[in-house]
Amino acid sequence: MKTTPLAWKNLTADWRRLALGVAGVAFAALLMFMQNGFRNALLDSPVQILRLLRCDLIAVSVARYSLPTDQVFPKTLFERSVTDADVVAATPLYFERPLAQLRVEGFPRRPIRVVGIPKQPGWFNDQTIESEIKKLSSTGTALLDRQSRLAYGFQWPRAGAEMDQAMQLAEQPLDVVGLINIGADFVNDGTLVVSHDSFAHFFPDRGAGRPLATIDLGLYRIRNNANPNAVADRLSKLDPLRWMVMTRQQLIDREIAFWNRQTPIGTIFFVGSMMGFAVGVIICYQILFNSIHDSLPEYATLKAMGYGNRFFVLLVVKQSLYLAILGFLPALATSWLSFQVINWAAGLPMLFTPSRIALVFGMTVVMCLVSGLMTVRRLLNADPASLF
Amino acid sequence: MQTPLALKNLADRPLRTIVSATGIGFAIVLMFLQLGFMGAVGDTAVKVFDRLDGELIIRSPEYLQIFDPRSVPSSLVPMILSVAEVADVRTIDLGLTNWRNPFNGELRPVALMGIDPERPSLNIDGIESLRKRLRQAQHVLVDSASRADYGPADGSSFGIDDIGTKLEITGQTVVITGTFVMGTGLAANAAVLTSHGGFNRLSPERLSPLVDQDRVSMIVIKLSGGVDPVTAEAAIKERLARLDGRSSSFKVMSMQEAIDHERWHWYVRTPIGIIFGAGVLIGVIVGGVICYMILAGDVIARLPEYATLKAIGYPNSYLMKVILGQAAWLAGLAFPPAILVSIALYTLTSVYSGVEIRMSFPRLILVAVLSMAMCGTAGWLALRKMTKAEPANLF
Repeated sequence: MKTTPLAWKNLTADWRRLALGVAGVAFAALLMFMQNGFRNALLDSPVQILRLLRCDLIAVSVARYSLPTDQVFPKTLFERSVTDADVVAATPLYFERPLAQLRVEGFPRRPIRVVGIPKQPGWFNDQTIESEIKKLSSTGTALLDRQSRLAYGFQWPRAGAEMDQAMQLAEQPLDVVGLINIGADFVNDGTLVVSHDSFAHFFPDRGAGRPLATIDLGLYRIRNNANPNAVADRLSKLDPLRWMVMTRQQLIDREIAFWNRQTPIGTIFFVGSMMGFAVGVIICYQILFNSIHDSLPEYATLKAMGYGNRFFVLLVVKQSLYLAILGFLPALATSWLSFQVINWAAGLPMLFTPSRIALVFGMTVVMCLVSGLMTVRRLLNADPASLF
Repeated sequence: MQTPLALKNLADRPLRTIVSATGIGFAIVLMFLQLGFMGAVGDTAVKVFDRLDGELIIRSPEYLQIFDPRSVPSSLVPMILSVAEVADVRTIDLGLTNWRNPFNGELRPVALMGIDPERPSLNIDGIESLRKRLRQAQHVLVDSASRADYGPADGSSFGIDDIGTKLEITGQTVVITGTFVMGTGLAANAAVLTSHGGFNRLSPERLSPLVDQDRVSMIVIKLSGGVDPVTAEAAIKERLARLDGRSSSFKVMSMQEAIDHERWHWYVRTPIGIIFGAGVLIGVIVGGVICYMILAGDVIARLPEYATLKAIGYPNSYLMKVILGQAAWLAGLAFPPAILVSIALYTLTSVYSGVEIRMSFPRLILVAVLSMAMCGTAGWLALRKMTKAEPANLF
């Protein structure tokens, strides 16, 4: 025999109350999504550039505690490492910010991150960057990050058109030949990508007059069947006092951990998420409490007829789960929209990943269950006779 | 006497009232928290400016933020001193660099400040005796508000035990000769004060060919007693305009203007500011939704009673008064415990994140007004449906 889906019927009996409940849970979930999204946006922003790189291993100076600092390692060391049997391809990456003063006609000079890359394509995961690299053939040309902040004074051209503002980088004329997407972060308000030759041309004083002799990041691709950790260890041992080689993911994790520790965002957004959770528990409790309160006579009848505690616990648990699911779906849609808007307005990477969605869904379910179990106590303690 | 229906409604089911007040209290705490975080961002902006000893400043047109101020030539100092309204001119250097923990060798970012020990431009406690400890370029004073992972001798904060410690800043050896109390908010987790000579030695830009070596970050101007700052500002601008083209581009502004500009920068131009601003907005919206849910739930539960009142001739305005009264009582009930919880959460967050968050009187007023407005709007929305309805339909 099919049993009556009482939990579902209870929940949908009064649509106004259901709508309020769903809206409440959705708001709590949205709040958690936003807090979590903000936290991740801040922590994702400094590693956007690393995520764009197509490589297995990355070498950095041991003193480089965070990407935007200027600790470098000598090119001679890098050249020694390239001969390793497991290394298939390698290239140096150069970064400059203090010397990279960009002046857009009519605006004050501001520092911008300049990344020196090889002219050969194949080192980026991003299709646009890969196809625009060929435009960097002549010295003095650059690709500009479309997500650079407004303060520089860039006037973005319409699709297909070229940037026509006069610009100077380190007091030399700069020709922007293409637009790409990387993203700003805590330190960098914008990014220019240039070839190694242009990098040396713009910053001749870097590295005491030998601009390419000191390297910021060394990128490696290794043989398919090689063990990345083993190769990284071997390369690190070439000069453990000067540099360290790690997988791209390890460097990303290390950078995120640095910003998490360096800034108070970890703590602050944890408190924020907990607030969302608490708000959700209260809202859910309100809804379930009212729903049970109003049907107490019905429950009393069921109890008097002999239904056991198990039945009532299951009933409330089911009701809270339905509420969690019904509330989560609109929250997901609204958050997705809000993420797009913030991404567009603030240039921050608001990313949705399955694990982040699962985290908020898990918290929503727990939130509803906690409030469900808080209400069920009241029901179980009741004496059938006194309920009428 | 009229029956105080709003109060009686609340007193009728005390448990429910407590739950409702808790809900509204949470909404209030949420607003306090987000505003507190936002306030911490704003405080960052004024930490240094509040301590600058003067009424006006001169800075570069390329100024970015307090710890990335670019520079102005020190040759401007005697020229400004010759302006009649000016009593004294002082200088300050500001920048960010790296600090090597003397115990474990790890590098950390640090805020670096440079003053002229003979004419200190910073108003910090004990500056009169501290400035004497900056005789040599390698002498530095450390902010005792710096975080523990910078390597203080006692493992928690820099103090008397650290005097004499040698360590590396920007790869150069320095000696700690004292400590001071300041804090830099979100800009960095530690700060160091040295002389101009020390700053030039430690500045990360010391090798940049674009930077003029005879430079300071900002010029701080003290006016003679009784001089109107606006007049003085105009006089200084005029003096600069008479110099060559580049000098006339330097910005002269009052301390307040500089603070406002800096706050704006931190709120609008930094990712942290933007996100906390959005947080405040979300706090208010979520708070409003919670209040609406609570009051709407109450209206639905009492529909028959309200319908009866309506049927016996009470006007909508009376019902509105009851609901708004209820909303106001709930907000009033929720407010005091919410303040206590918020202060506790501020303290907790301050301890764990190392960024000071304080309760302020204007914030109390702002949240009180916001929560009243929130509850009022929610009450009005909750009742609107009912006032349109026919009494007969309401049962």
